[in-house]
Amino acid sequence: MDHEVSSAIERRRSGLARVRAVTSLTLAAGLVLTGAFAALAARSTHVVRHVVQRAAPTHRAHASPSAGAVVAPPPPLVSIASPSAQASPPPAPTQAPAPAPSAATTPPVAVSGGS
Amino acid sequence: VNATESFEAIGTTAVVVVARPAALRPAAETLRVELDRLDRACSRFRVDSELSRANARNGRAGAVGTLLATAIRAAVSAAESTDGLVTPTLGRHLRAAGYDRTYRAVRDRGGWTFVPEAPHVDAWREIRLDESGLLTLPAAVELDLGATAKALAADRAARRIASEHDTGVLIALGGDVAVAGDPPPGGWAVRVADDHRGQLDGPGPVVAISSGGLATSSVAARRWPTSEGEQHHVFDPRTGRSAETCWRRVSVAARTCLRANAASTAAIVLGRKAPAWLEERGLPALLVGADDTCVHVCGWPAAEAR
Repeated sequence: MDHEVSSAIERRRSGLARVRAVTSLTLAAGLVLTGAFAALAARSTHVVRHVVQRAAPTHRAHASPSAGAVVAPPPPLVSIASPSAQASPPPAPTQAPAPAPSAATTPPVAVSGGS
Repeated sequence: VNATESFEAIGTTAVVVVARPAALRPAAETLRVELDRLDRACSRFRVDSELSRANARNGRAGAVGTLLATAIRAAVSAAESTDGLVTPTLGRHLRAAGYDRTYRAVRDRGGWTFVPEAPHVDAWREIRLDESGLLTLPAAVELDLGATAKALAADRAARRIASEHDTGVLIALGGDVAVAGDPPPGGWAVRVADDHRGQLDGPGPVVAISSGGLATSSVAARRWPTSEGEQHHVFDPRTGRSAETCWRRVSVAARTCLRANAASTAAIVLGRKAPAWLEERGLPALLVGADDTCVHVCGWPAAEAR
């Protein structure tokens, strides 16, 4: 009777040990896979960033003027649309907001007034 | 360091400011040449100008030169963009009001008997100008290009100077300012005032522009007495006399000085509807009322709206 009980307990212990081993292996495999995916994702992001960073100068090189051509300068950074204009859909090209004046940081060089 | 030269021309003050001081002398000479050509082509006060000869033809066709043709097309485009609020066809009405010579001579005359005439508001639509420069005006219509020719000249001179003399440049002709080329750091600082003859350190806000143009129309300058009361030079094409307006001055920034001038003049004529009209067109503006009330539109720096 005692022997049978001991055997049953031993079988149960060995069964639990197998379950633990399988669980550990599964967890380890999961961690390895997660790490691999993370590394892959990081590498992909790096590649995308790299492409984006390199794309700009390539595009600008294509957009640069040919000899003798006249190309309008890019819009000034001080260009500001009104809050309502910014909230509405982009205006048609013919109604694009004009460049707004900015607060002056230097003394005036001219006067705009009635003539 | 900028370099500046100013001189009197076309009945107002011409100012050229260059970012490269070595370019000042040739830039000023270019501006003088441009303004001399403009005066001979477009002045209403010279009997020998092309415009005076065209006005005298009274509906008969005649050839005009390239510059006058360009100025007429610019004036018609201003009329189109303002729905006729700024029209080149008020020469006869200005003359009837006594503005038939330079402003200094009008002011010094001391008085005038003004008999207003009802204008034909759509006369500008009947101007015919073909590609060869053959111009036909409606009968009894006389052109006055003062509202737009000066702004056009500022745009043209600024572009030409920047291109030919390799410098950033600001041109100011009366209230009309145009810039071209590379601006100085922070942009070109311009004071806005009732009168273009105001001092650089006088009253009025100071703003900076880096491209395009800035124009100010004011009813505080160019006023003269008549039998119909004091008149000013911003005429309403619907009445044929000085615009009755709630604004003392309107300043507008635009992609060109010509557009800015047309819009600021239209805003004076429109009166209370002007802020919404400017907002619809995306034009930054500062409107100052007769009672000093300020309205700023489309990104005009609020702190400077005084």
